Amino acid sequence: MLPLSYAVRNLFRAPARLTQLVLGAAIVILLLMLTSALSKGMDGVIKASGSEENVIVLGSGSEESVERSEVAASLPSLLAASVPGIKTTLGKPAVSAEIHYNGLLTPKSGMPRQALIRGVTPAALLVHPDIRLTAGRFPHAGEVMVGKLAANKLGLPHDELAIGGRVRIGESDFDVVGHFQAPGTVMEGEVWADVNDLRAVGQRDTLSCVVVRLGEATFDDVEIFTLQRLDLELVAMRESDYYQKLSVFYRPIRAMTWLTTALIAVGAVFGGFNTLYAAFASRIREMATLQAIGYTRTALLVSLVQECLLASLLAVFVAGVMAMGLADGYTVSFSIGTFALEITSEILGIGALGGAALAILGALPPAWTCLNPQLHSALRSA
Amino acid sequence: MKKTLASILLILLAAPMSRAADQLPDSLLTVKSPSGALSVVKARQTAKAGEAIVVRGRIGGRAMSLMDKAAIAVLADEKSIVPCDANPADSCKTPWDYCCESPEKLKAGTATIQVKGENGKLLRTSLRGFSGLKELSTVVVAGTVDASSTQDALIINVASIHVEKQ
Repeated sequence: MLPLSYAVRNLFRAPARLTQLVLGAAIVILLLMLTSALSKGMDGVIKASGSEENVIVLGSGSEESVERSEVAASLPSLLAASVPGIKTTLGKPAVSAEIHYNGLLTPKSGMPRQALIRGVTPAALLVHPDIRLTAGRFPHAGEVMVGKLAANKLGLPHDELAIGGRVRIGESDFDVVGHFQAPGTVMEGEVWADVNDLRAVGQRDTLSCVVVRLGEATFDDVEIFTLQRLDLELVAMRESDYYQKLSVFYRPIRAMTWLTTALIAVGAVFGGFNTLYAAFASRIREMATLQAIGYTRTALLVSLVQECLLASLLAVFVAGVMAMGLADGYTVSFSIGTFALEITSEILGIGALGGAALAILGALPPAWTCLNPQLHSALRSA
Repeated sequence: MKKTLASILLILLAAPMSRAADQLPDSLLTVKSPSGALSVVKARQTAKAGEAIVVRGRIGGRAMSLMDKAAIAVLADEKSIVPCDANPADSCKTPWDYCCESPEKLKAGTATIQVKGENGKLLRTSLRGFSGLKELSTVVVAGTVDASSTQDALIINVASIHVEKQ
């Protein structure tokens, strides 16, 4: 085997070519990392948003969009009375009446923005235990509390939604009285208001849905209720299933991002071929000389691949630094929520594996061309 | 080894504690169709809580018309509403949900049928497969109108089911 120092020395023989290789590979690896982080973030937010213990009861036919759903305002009390075993906390049943409103929110200074606003009662805290008030308090009539990522979702500076500030929803003004967190869930990008206020804003006398937290009750108990009350035209879904169903809607977007990454990677591989063919072609005689003094073709092939792997390792480092610096913590908004990109060790690992694959794929054909000629003709090559 | 044996013992002891599926009573199936059956629409107009009733209809009216873990199903009127596969051009994968019908007609043309045990609780077993029962099966059920039944939500406690051969 040739020593690693030989590969390292060869790598820095042509700095301009090395820079070209490293930057080209770094762009592809960066893209791979970002696509992985986006996909993982989307999966994570959808998975975290739907609890296995929650059942969402919505209007029949609105299984794919809670915003379109309408259920009777009396449903929360009907569910609490008719379904035995619903979780209770301090005697209060965990049944949350909710209005999910996708409408315009106007900050104090600025243009109206499309916002996800949820009308709730304090019972929402019983079914969404992930909610943590980080400042202020739960909203009453005429007030709202905002999620940690709501400002990012709305494209506003955070001080626009500071406690004590005012926002306009529909024709009504609301005071911002609280900030909350719900790590990794779609709720972090939402604005929460009193359910009755949102009923007035939406000019409706119905709710969007009722969320029930199961205690001793099972999902089947809630489903039986929906079958026994056909007049209410209800459908019960596990909250986790609801969000899983929504994720299907984003498959084409995800497929497109992966396809783009794949196409750019293919382009980079061909670019790499081009550079490496030229680089290795000028070393045919050198390789033949090494063979003549006793090194096997396999040893030479390994050395050439080592060179490319070292270059790709540099590219992984560059891409990693760029991803950590530019993308880590960057908030991404999509129609059902907002999440922060996380460049985890797993994502960096995916980038490293991608880089290694890129190096091996890019090195093998040019190396083959370089080592393939017969020894006697290779020794005479220019 | 001891831990494994203890775990197995715990599982064996715990097994009988988990809820076993109920059995549907043998008397539930009737070979001969009960006479004097009303349509679902007619039954909804005349039914009174506690009264005996015989209703004829088809299993369907919503995507989940036949529960897998409880003896409860949705019964759709045979004439006032039609399943999607009755329309030749329709390629609906779940024709029993009657999704091509208006919500109003669907609401007026459906009822709930359920089988309760001697303790008055809904049996935790499916009606699916009972004498070949499945979505869109035509059935004639005899029973009593449930106490919680209203004119808007007819619920029948079934004593016997006749499943018509398709």
